[in-house]
Amino acid sequence: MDIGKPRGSASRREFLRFSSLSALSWCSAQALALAGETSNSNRLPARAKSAIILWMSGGPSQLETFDPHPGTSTGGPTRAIKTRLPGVQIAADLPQLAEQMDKIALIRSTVGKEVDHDRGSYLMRTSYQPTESVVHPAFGSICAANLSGGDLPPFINFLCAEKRSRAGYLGDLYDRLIVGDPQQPPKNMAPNVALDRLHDRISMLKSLESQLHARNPHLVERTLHEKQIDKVLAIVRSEETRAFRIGDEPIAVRARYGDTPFGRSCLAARRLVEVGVPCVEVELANWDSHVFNFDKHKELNATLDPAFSALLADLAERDLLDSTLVIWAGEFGRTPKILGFDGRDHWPHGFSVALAGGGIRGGQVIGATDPAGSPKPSDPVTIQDLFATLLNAMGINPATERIIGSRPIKLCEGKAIPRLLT
Amino acid sequence: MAVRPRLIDALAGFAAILAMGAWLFGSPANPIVGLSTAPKSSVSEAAARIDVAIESHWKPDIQPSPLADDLQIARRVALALRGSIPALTEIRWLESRPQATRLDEWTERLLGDQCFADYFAERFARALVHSKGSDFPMPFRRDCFLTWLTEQIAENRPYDQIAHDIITAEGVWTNDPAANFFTAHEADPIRLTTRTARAFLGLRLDCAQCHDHPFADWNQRDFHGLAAFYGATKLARFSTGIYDVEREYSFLPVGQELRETISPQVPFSPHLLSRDGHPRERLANWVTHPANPYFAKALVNRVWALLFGVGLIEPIDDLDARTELAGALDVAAAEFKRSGYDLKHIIRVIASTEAFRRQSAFHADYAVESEAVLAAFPSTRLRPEQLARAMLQTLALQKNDYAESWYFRLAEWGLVDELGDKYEEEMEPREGNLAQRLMMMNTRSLSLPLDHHWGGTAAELNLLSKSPQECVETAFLICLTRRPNDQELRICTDLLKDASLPQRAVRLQDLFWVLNNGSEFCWQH
Repeated sequence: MDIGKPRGSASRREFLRFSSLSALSWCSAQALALAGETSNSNRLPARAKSAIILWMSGGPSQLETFDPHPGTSTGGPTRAIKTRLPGVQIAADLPQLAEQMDKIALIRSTVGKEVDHDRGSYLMRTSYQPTESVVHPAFGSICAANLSGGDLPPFINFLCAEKRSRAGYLGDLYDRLIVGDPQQPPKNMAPNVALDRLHDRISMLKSLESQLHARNPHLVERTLHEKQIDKVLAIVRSEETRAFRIGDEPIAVRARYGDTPFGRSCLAARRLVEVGVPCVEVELANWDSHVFNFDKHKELNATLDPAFSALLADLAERDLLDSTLVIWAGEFGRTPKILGFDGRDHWPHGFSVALAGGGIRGGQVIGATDPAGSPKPSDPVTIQDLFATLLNAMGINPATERIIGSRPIKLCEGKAIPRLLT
Repeated sequence: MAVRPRLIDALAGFAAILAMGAWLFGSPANPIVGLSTAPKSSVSEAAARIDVAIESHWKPDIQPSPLADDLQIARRVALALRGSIPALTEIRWLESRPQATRLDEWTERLLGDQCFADYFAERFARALVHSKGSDFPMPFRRDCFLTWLTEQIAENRPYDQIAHDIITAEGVWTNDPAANFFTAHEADPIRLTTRTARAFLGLRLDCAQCHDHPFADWNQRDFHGLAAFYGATKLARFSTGIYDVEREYSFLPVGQELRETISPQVPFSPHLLSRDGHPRERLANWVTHPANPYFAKALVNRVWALLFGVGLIEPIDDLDARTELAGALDVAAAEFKRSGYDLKHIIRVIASTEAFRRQSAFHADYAVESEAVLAAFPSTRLRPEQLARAMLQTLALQKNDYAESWYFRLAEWGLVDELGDKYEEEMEPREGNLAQRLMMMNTRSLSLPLDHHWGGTAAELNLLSKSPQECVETAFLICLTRRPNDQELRICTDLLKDASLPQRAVRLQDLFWVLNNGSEFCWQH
């Protein structure tokens, strides 16, 4: 067998030998993580303690939400209204949010590179374009790995339909836990037997595990099985799970968020932040309006407006807004050009992202899109820079590197935008 | 190779519906009768050669783990070949066979079962058509490809022919299922080249897509020269099929302003490439050429990883990494080639090695080291689908038949859905997340069938066992494929000893819960 080209230098061999050994010792990385050890070098002065991501899956139209252009060729029938912020108008279907605009930092010139839903949301959620060689961690997983929480899982998603993990190379420990409409208690979080019977089961399990340990300590220690069991037991027993019980809230508060799955989840997100969960994500889907864009947005705005505005007001009233970063974003925006059947297609060249709360300087607008629909917004903000800004707000250094496989990877390659930060 | 499927574009939508109908109501293929093509001696000789290659790198002071007992090995083989653990009836059958041949018979029995082809094809397909994105808007393209691959594996078609078919596939996605290798990647030369290099050559050329590879000798021209073979491949309207056009391929060289046209060229062994012919035909012949230094190794390393949980070389699609075990891979790949790319043969060989039949490491101090050189069987976490199938198997005394029964497919789908993560990071080492542990400990999906009011294994055991000891022993066999040792027997019988029959049924449910939540159940070892 002859190969046309010499392969593999000595240094590369050494390098790979090293990295393959380190791949085998992955469980000790997990051991460190479980023991709560994190390096201090990746920490910046903390601004926010928790993050709430309002994820608009499908890609909302900037023109029908935060960046209307009424009376132009791209504006369509969407009207605009004045907001708390002088000179800034948003879509007329968001009247309650208009009252909260003084809290919001609005970026109208976000630019991405992807026009496919999966690739676009990967980019928005991780700041990297998808590659085959590595899975980057989502923002929430990075928060989960860097901020301390209580008994509950550190990254909780409401209403997500896809079951994909998002912790990537950070490890399964920081995957998000996906739960449904808080009208029902979250799945598998309460024992399926009485608590004392569960305790009996666990003490039996532990005595059998110690038998196994006597024969095969490696298997028991390596799997960290017992620690995971203890974590589940802590969740099952924890008072913190009451945070999921939105029924405990006064009817007036619930009404304020709106009687929708999204509204209820936003309320639960606030309760979870109160008990110290580092990141909560709430999803509102169906923004993908290739047809009947205006009707769809009218409907979705009716859900979004009360929930988002109540969340901001509620957090502020409880003095939680300064320590909670709120992010409103989808994977991209929609084309300025109105297509057949009143549709708008995918558009990454200038779309809106709204930020508020911890670490963010509210009451400002960055960038502007062209009413004629040019793909070059003024003052463009890349997703990488946006992501770096958000990490900064959480007190996490975006330049933190890890060796993954054979190369160092930064949490994010962007630079924080100073004027967005407090 | 230039039939344009446009005329039948419109029909493809109907075909999709028909395909779904066939998938829902179609009768499963008949189980294939297992016929070992190679005489037993050739299998054990090849296995011994691999063992010699592995052991030649051991340090003199290494303490290899002793061989595991037959039941434990049988559990490994079942988890590797059909993703579930042996049923009680199968354990009884195994123990009735002569000791000298029972493991070989067991492997043969599994290889002849449709469950093997289904499961192995699914795991294998992830190297080829899994993409990070979902399959929207054509969710059945992957199923179509998978069904085809399953048939190839069930028939034990030589692997070089399967690979050749995939690389040269064309036509409408419903009629020519292998063409979904291309539709799954939107016929994008970049993604196709990445997949081809990784799946068929075990090489990560993708780093060289934008820049020269930082550590290996691959450069950008290597990647795009390979991509040029796919440059003329086009996806028909509405993603319904694959055909070729006259088109040149170009790329943007690093640091340049203008794109450069590049003609198809291979990154190594150029003398194996034929001069003329259709680009993809040339590529397929080059990839599967017996003298291609990577093709056989890439497959054998992947099969090895499916049996052991880790490849001889890791990451499994980065064969450039040279490790102590690379020599063993060379030996195994040579055997695979010699056998005419016989998939079942190489599985038999790998499953017969001493390396596969060793116990996992006992002493935490040198476990990682001894696993790394295969002086001990590596312990790895079960994949979600293995865990789901194993849990479902503990609910029955007989084999759950996924090829035959809709109940099990739905139940498995539900559990895997709860466990999450079916497709992503197929071979990465994972420790399991909290959602999965929450599900294992608290799910109601499993408590219902275990409940004694509804029948199920706990109730059957309770009624059929003569003594508490027998209950415990059988529960261990069902869940852990082994008998309890004395202490375990004592701990568990204490639980059942003084209980009335209805109480005992409830406590047996507890015992099943405990056994299914232990580290021994959740890890391949």
